Amino acid sequence: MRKTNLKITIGILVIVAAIFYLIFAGFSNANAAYYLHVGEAIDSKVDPGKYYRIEGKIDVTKATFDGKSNPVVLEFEIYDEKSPDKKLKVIYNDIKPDNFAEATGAVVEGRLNPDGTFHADKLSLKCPSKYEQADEAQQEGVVTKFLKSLGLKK
Amino acid sequence: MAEVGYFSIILALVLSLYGIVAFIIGIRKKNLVLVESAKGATLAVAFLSSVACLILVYFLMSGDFSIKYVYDYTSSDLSAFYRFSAWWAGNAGSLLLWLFLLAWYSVVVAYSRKGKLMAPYATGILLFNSAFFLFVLAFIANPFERVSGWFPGAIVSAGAGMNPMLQNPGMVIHPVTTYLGYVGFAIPFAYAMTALITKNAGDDWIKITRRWTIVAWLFLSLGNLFGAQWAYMELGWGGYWGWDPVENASFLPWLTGTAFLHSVMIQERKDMLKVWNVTLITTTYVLTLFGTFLVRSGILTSVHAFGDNSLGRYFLVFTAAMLAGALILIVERSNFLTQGRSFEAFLSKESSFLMNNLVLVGLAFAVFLGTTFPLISEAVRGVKVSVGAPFFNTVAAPLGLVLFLLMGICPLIAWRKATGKNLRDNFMLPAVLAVVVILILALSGIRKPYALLGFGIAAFNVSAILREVIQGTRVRHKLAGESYPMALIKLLMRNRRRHGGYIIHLGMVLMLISIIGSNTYDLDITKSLKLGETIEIGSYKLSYDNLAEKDLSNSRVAVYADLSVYDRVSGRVLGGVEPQKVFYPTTDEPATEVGLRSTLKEDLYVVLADWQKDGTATFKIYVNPLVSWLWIGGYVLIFGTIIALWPGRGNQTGARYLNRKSDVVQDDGEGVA
Repeated sequence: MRKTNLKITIGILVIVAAIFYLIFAGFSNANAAYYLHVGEAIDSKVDPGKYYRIEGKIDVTKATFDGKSNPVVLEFEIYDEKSPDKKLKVIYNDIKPDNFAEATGAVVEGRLNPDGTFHADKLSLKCPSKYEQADEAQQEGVVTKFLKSLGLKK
Repeated sequence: MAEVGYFSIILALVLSLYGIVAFIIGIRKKNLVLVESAKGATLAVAFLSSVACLILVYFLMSGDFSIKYVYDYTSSDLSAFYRFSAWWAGNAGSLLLWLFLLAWYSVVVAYSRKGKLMAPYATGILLFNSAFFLFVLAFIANPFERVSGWFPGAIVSAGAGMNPMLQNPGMVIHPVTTYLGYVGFAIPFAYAMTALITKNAGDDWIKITRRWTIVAWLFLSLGNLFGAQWAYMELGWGGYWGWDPVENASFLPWLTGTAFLHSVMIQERKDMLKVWNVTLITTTYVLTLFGTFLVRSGILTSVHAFGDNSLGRYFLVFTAAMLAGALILIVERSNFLTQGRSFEAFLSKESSFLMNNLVLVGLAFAVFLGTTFPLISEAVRGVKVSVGAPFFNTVAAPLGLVLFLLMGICPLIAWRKATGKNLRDNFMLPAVLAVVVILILALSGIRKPYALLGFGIAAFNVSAILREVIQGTRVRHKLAGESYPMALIKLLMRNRRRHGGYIIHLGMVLMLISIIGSNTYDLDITKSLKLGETIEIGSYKLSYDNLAEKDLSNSRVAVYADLSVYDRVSGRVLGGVEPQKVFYPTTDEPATEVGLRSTLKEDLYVVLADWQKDGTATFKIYVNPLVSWLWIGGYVLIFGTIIALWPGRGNQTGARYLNRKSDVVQDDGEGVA
């Protein structure tokens, strides 16, 4: 019985050790990405070797998409909300995500290119919250309707 | 009417609190009248919740946009089907759905005939949960809130509209099945706590909750699957699982729930692992709450966008409180949970179940770590560090393979101690077949080690199960003289728990095959094409024939491309795909409709990314092998669960292994009826 308990204990320890080993291995392949705001990224020296996740505001009207080159190129800039002159040019070799047209913020994951631009492997976008949009539109609706009902607005 | 709805919530909250108090006092003072009254309160809470739901649905269907929730999630051109599903499209409504399910499940528990002594305790615990949700609905996320600036008499005639990504059948079913899974696991948790409170060291609570657990597990599995299918069809990135925090949030309780589902079998038959089981169900229950917290608090950025910080705080507090309460109970009562038997051999069913549990819980731990890592690193180092899919894949792939190997071994290895003969009889053939399959695949060009191992393990599983069933059928045929088909049916029906389990395992194997295929051998290409141009990928040749616009129902407009699909080698016409970008009246951004050609072998998946006035269009094309088997595996899962749950004879714990006093090694029905 004791021998059995020992075998089972060893078996458990082996599995637990294997799991922790895998977790460590996972972290080293993980492209564990340091999360920074654009302002911080520009100010501090961003290490070209490391993998980063950078967040900033985006002006989608200034973005360019070249579908003909191989690979396709989506180029845009992300800037710091508080100091808009702190900006980073991002190059993303994939198609525009669905919600690109409405996006006000972006989170890019990737590495810094030697020329100072950022090569993004992943792009996720932030849109204005539904509640913000809704409130504006709705207030206009109610007030306009009231004024219209009084004949004061066409 | 909105006021009636809100009042129902408030009244239900009051009654739920009354019910909790009445249960506590009624149990303490052994006052049956109070206990009955508390049961009545439970029923009343369920009725009131239903009233609130009905009123909300009425508002949604009739399009009363003065209600903020209706305004936010519907519009006048939304079809009736999606108006109904808007019930759970947003935060407040989905919490109301959760409450509705929880309230009625609680009624079933309150009035259940099995385990009458435990019911009052369990119901009280469930009422405590309901009270929390009612509190949140009443004071933080009110589904009946009016649009701001509204006054009686004002008419709001338009709505903001439902997010196009939610207008998809998968997104309608996914939240319901997921919640049925979450709420379903609260019941075994409540009974487990009851067993601790009442110092009941037996497995009554497990017997009573067995069906609940299996049903909850099935719904949670389906919830995860439907979510994956939605992601595949609607998000348009060519995959079905991205290790997104929200996906992980519903995967974690599934992992621990699966572990629990298996380890309770050990307690039922061998009277072991009692503390482990109670801890495991607590973990599962806490993870369902924690997952909900992750999704709704906005604390981790992901595809889901419910974000509301104050709600997150309340969820966190409630989750922490329940976890603390449960842990205190477990520690205090742990010396009552002495075990009956102990492990007798390393190679046995008991120990392989234990290994299965360790792997599942280990995987859950790793996924949990990866998901919450940004929070941990921020708390510890002040820097937010996130990990992506590579971390999860590195951990999940090997653990997954080990898990499936165990899945093949466990059902067939002997209880207590496996002899050499037992091992050879049950596993020699499957092992040989597995090796043969690996060799064949390797020779036909498949070289990636994980893929080879994975397919080999799948073959092992399938052959082990088939061998067992075929042998059992043969024996019945010989002994009972039944024809082979009859013998097979009778064999399956005589022990539905076991064979239902086998069928479920087969479903999982199908999913394994799908996951290996679609992750190892997927292809993709992004290219701009002029009208008339062709492109080749995998075994296909596509020609870009046309780009046009058309009107769809409910005021939508689609820009679509027609592509013809040919076999690359023979040139034979296979069909066509029509990827679209759909413009909704209520949003600026179009939604992607994937052009999909799905066969059992693979999916041809085409996204229309961009287009120019001259008709040049950019496409992203994927070839995803074996994806269909993921969904087929899901159907097999449902079928297996139905068999496993079918009531009546043939549904007991293994044929003759009920008598624990006997120490004789019993053949628990392997093969012979």
